[in-house]
Amino acid sequence: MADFKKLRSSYLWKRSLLFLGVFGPATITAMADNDAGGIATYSVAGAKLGYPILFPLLLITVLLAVTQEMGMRLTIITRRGLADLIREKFGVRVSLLIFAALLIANFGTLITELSAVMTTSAMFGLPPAPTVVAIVLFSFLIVTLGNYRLTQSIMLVACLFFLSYIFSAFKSKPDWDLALGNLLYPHGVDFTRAYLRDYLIISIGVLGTTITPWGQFFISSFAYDKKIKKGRVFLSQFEAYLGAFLTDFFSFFMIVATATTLYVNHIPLESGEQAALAIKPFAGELAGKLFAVGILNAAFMGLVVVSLSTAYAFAEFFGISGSLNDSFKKGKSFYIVYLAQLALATLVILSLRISLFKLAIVTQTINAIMLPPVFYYLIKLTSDKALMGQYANNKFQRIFAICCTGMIVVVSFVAVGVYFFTS
Amino acid sequence: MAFLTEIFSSEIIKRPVLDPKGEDLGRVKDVIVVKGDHLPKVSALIIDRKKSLYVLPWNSLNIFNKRILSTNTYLDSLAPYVLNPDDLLIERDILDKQIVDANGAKVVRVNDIKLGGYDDDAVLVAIDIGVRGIIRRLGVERSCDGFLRVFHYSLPRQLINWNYLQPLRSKLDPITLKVPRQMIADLHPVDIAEIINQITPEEGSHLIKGLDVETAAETLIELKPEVQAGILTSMGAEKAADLIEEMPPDDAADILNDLPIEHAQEILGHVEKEDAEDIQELLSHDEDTAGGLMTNAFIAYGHEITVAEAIERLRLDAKEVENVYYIYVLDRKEKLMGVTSLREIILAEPDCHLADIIRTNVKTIRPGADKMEAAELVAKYNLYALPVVDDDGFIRGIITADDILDILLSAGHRRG
Repeated sequence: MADFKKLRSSYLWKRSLLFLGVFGPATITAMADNDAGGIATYSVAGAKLGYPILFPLLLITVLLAVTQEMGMRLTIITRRGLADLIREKFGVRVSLLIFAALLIANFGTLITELSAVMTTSAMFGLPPAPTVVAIVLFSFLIVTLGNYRLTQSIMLVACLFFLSYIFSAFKSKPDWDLALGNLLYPHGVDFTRAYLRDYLIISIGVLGTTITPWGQFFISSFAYDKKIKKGRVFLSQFEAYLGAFLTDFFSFFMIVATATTLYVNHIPLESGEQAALAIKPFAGELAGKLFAVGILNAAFMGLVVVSLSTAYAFAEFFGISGSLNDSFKKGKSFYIVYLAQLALATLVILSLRISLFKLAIVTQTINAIMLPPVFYYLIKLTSDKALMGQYANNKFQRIFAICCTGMIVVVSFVAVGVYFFTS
Repeated sequence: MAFLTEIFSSEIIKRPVLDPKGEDLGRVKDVIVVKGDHLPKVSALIIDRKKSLYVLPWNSLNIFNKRILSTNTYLDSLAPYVLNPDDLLIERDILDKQIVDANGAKVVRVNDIKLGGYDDDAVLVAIDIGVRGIIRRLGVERSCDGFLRVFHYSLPRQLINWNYLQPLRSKLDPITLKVPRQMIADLHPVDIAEIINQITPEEGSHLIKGLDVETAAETLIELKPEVQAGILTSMGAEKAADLIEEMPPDDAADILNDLPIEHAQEILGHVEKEDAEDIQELLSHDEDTAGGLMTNAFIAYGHEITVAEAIERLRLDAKEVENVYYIYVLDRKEKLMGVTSLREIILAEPDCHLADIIRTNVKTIRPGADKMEAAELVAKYNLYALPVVDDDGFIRGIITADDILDILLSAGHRRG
């Protein structure tokens, strides 16, 4: 039929724009891993341990890619969110258990973001408490009054800050052989007992800041909200891998930057100003200001994304409608859950005033510990042939994911044990 | 056994069942339901004893309430049971699943199920969709109530009568009542589409299959393209063609445009020749142009006929054409000469010729023009429809105001 020739050409034209349209959920989730908690964790990692901490990063990246891809595939094929499926297949008790894990992990992360806001407001000379409240209010407004596309645009712009780490890493002239070599095996440093203890604990922190329970739920809900067609599975998979690579691409440079500027000179990482030294080679005197803006931005992103994931999960598990495209009136419970966590986190941070860099590792470790139950159900669902049809996990994916989950459980126990028995 | 009280499924499942002597036979694993005279009824309990499954038919039960479940069967006469995908089980197939509340026109999730007595049977009376249901499933209803009583607060009961429920899986068809199906069919297609947007394509197509062809077609038009594609795919080309035939050609063209080419071709192959030609004509235009927006179903008569004749023809043509407000009038060569409206026709003398009452200064647009230009014209001249005229002066179609509204709204506002 001749008329279809025109259809075909416009179809091809559309396909190239398609990728840009799908480009969103996985990249944003991956980028949001570089939230304030992430920046703090990677900075501490590089500053305290130098290049060898790059070794776990590679493995973590692969695991991130695999789990994000599973999450996206699950939603695209079944057209349901992760929480929805868990509720339907495993019932109320399991739902409550997983939701509790998510809530705890997320709450820790929220407190970390707010702690970052306090740290940076000091760098700007702003009063910390009102700044925190202002940022929280802004996070609330943007989500209730805005909609999916607006939120996505803001977050994509925020990702540009991380470029400064890349430039800084190059300018500070690190030992590239040593850095890249450490991706393959850790070396070049004195592995004392104290060092190994820190190494273990910080590795779990790095894991927990890169792969998070909320990330798993978020990618599923965000992809659902965006309504991606089944035919675009391949593109989404590619995007999931790309997103994972991008996130740790930036983490790599963050670690290298702090390792070269702070570790090498034995500067301890306790304040925002010290952390800003990591981008001084690139930003010069503006390092402090740039870092403050960047981390504030990252904190904001983290606040929105993490609270949203809790709200999404709550809606899905317990049956309320939850979508960024609903007005406040329609999705009251959804927005209330969103605000309640932020409000509670604000109260906690204002009363406790904990240092960001100490807090980050602890909360990100909690994130890591909450991963195994989430992964367990994720793997179970994505391996279910009745559910996924031809898109069910293949052997490699299943075995790899199960092994990693097992490893996470073991290492978490060891790390927590080491932390409590040797401090 | 006469069943008098009311009880929830969460109060039965996992409870122990006793034999006549009071010995423990096993725990309830699930409940089998079947079609009843009106509401679905319980036909048997499946119990789990030391990892083996047994079935207890309803009439073997003695006591059936919140406190005690007992049967008149002894251990040695227990009938074994093998899990069967065809049986309808409460916990496996109904609990925690999504279901449509036809009364509220929304999709809800089953947290718990209320059973009541009817003659000697236990029937499914309602589902619990509220928080209380979840609390009850967790077994903490009483403690929670006690706790909340301190604050003079009581969790509301959110029950939906089985009469209003339309399950989404074909497996539950036997226990679906006619009433909710009818209620959904009576909803506005936009509301039905809203429900379908919240469920999976398979469930959506199951819902649509239960509708009559006109409602199904109208609902399909309101769905988002990816959902339409999913539903049409699971429908089969012939059934899909039936729906396409029911639609106005411009909506049909829009839907087919979004499908993969082979699929669209296949469906068109089953569509009635005349309708297929109309749709093809529309498909030849680019989506973002006036030609892509228009419908080729419009009213056009020759200038020499009388008003009375026009009304007679309108009575017939209005069956097929959606927009009859404007009547376009053609000259001897069948080119667009002028336009008149239904209002003018009603007000005019029956023996006037159309040529006498038309307005010749017609605002038109070329098929290749941008859709925003069409929007501007419609807004500027307060038109209900804008005729699309080619370079030779022949009218090819009309763009109606509601399509213009969609463009204007999606330009500023998101469209998912």
